Amino acid sequence: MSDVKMLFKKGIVWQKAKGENGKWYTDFNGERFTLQMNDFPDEPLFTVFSDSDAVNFDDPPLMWFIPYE
Amino acid sequence: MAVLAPKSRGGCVNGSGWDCFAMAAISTLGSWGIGPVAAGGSTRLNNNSIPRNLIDDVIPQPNYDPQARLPNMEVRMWYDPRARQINTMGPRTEEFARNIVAQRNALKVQARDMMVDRAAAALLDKTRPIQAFDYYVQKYSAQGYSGEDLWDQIILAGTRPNEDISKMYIPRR
Repeated sequence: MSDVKMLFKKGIVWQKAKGENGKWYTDFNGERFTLQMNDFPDEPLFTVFSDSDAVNFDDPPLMWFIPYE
Repeated sequence: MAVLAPKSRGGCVNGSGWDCFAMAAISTLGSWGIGPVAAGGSTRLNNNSIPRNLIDDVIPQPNYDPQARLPNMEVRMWYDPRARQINTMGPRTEEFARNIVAQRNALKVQARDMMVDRAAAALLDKTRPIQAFDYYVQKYSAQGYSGEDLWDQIILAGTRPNEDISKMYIPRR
């Protein structure tokens, strides 16, 4: 099982989740990770999920590409 | 005199930190006669009345943003204490609850406008729009609240951001 925080050290191109605005996914090391946009600023802007973990954060790494449109 | 750049341009809120240090430094410069007039006029930076041209000349501002927009983390650091400071001492009435929601929504609008990532802000307004008073009435009514208890829940929720900043993960950029 991968540590979600490991993703923050990698260049990740996120793919838009079909039919869901504000959600993206990526497959890394054979595992699927999901990225979700939250109710900012009451909540952190993003949460990234794996099957067993979740991490909140506000500013994504510069090495990530998140297609907003 | 060596002067370091302020780390944030969120304003001198709590009397400490780089903002306050920078403002104090500029105040000192002003007392030496290097004021806004001598520097060619006064402009505002994020409502703290520091002459911008003076800052640009004296204090390095490599990432200066003319809109005074901020990274998301700093926006939340600006928003969080202000949301918590909304005064909820008042009657448990619909009118007062509406007032609290309006205050919080005004802060949220301002916070989202401060986001430097405008594409993210635009998507945010589509996917997680700022909710009107009626949304909270429906939300808490569905949870079984009514009468004064309903207004009480809405009022208290108005000062309750959902995630403490201290619990946030801050990835290395």
